[in-house]
Amino acid sequence: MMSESMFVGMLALFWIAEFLFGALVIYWFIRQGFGDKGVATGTDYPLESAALTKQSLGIWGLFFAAIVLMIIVGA
Amino acid sequence: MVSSGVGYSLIGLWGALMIGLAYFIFRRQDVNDTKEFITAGGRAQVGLTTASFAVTWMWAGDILGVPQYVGFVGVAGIWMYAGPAVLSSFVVMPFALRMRELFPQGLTYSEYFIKRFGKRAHLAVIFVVLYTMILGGVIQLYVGGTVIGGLAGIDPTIVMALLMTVIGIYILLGGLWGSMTTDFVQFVSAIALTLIFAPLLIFTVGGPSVVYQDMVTNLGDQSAAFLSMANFGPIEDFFLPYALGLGVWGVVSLSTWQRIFAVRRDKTTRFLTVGGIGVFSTIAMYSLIGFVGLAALPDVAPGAIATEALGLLPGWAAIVFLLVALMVLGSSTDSYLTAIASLFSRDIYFRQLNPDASDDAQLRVARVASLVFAAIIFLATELALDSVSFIQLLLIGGIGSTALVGPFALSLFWKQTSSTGFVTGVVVSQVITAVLLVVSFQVATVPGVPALKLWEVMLVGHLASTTLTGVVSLLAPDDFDFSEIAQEAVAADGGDER
Repeated sequence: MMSESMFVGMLALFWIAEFLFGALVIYWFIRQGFGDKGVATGTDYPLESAALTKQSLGIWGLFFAAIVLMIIVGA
Repeated sequence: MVSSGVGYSLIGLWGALMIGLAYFIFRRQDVNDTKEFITAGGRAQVGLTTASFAVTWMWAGDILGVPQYVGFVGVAGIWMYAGPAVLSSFVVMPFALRMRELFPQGLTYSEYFIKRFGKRAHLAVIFVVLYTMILGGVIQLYVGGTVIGGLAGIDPTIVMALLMTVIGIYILLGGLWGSMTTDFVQFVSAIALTLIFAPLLIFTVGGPSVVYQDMVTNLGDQSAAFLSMANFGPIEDFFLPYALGLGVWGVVSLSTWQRIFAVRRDKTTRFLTVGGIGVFSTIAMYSLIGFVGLAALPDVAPGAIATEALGLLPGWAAIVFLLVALMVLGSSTDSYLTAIASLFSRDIYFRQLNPDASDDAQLRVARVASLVFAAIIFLATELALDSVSFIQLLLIGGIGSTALVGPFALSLFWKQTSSTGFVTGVVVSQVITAVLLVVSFQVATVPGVPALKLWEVMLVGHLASTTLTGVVSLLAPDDFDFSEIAQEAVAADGGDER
């Protein structure tokens, strides 16, 4: 059973995560806008690089590890 | 709860804002061909697409569902509820990367199947995608009508009719551009809801420490389980059926695929990663409503925690909350409607009925379909309200994904996957899971068919579709050359050109 301080800390962590998520997406939108005007069609873009795919998989790995840690610590 | 006059005013304000936004984007992005209408030209930026993807997965039902999960399971309800949605974003990634390599010119993912297997398999896919998308729309409207009608004191039927009229009009104008632009505003609203109103609710009842202490007092012996993230007891009822159904929904959902085809090709996994993980944090924030319910409303049933807890907010907050609920509802329903209109225009009208149709004709059909299917979703929701429970609707939608995921994966990565194997796997598994679901819901008894747990039904669906596709393909294998698809460019105005 999680303690009071852990419960309060968990709520704070959720709030920070949500804030960062919202801020990142809004920042991207302000910087990038709706779509690329100079591009006639989406197929003009190259395929995603292997480096970006690995980076995404790394982020997922960290996320799943965090969930498992949350379950273990919060048990 | 607010008065019905305020409720109507808020719906009117929301409708004017959404239609105005759709008109703005219609003019700005020049939405005058099917590529722009269905996939936003394949050049949408990551921020817009991530917001749209995330808010499509955050739906009005979460406001009810997450507190309900917390009411039944406790803190572990957070990951049990959020897991399937997050998993869906992860599972779809290899499909998305392969499709963007093989079929970069795609407008709907279902068109891939006509290239890979021909019209028969394409029809099977259309059937599954169409009914899962209509069900998705019905689920959103069903919950949204109930939540908003309940908060505003308006008959849910009237609320649903107004919502579908507004959504039908703004999709007619802007297609996917309209959906994604309104989604962005809806995303900002949903984030504001969770960042401001959920903590406000906590402090309205005394702050997080008081909430914790009151929960421990009210839960008594149950507090150890309810305040443990490792409360695995309810996993069979609260996690596994949804993980096996909704957890792969993203692979089947045309609204997810529209966003995959819309975003720049070089950023495909970026938006799925940030959007998917972000949904977890939003769902986690909704759990605060459930904690307030457990602390301050110990006698309230889990299903009513959200509406009762939100009643603790001051009057002005309830009004703003209602507006945000409208935003969240609109974002999911419009995504399903755009997907259905695109499917009808591109897959049914152009691919199956009139292959010579001009681009103008396809666009006209997509626009008319957005209004016609808005009416169909409304009528289907009206019927469903009287005869089917919300949970049953969710699970019926889930069995659609069990039929397609395995066969789709085999078709993308194994050249011997045959058309006969694919169709057999999809159709037979749908029949098997439908019969199992009918027996398990105790709608009817079928001699020799056992009543299974819901997660077992989902698992049988996955195993049946994948195994049958694999075995039948091994018996009569295809030898497909994937480069045939990759080299083709589809002309938007009909026919194929090399």
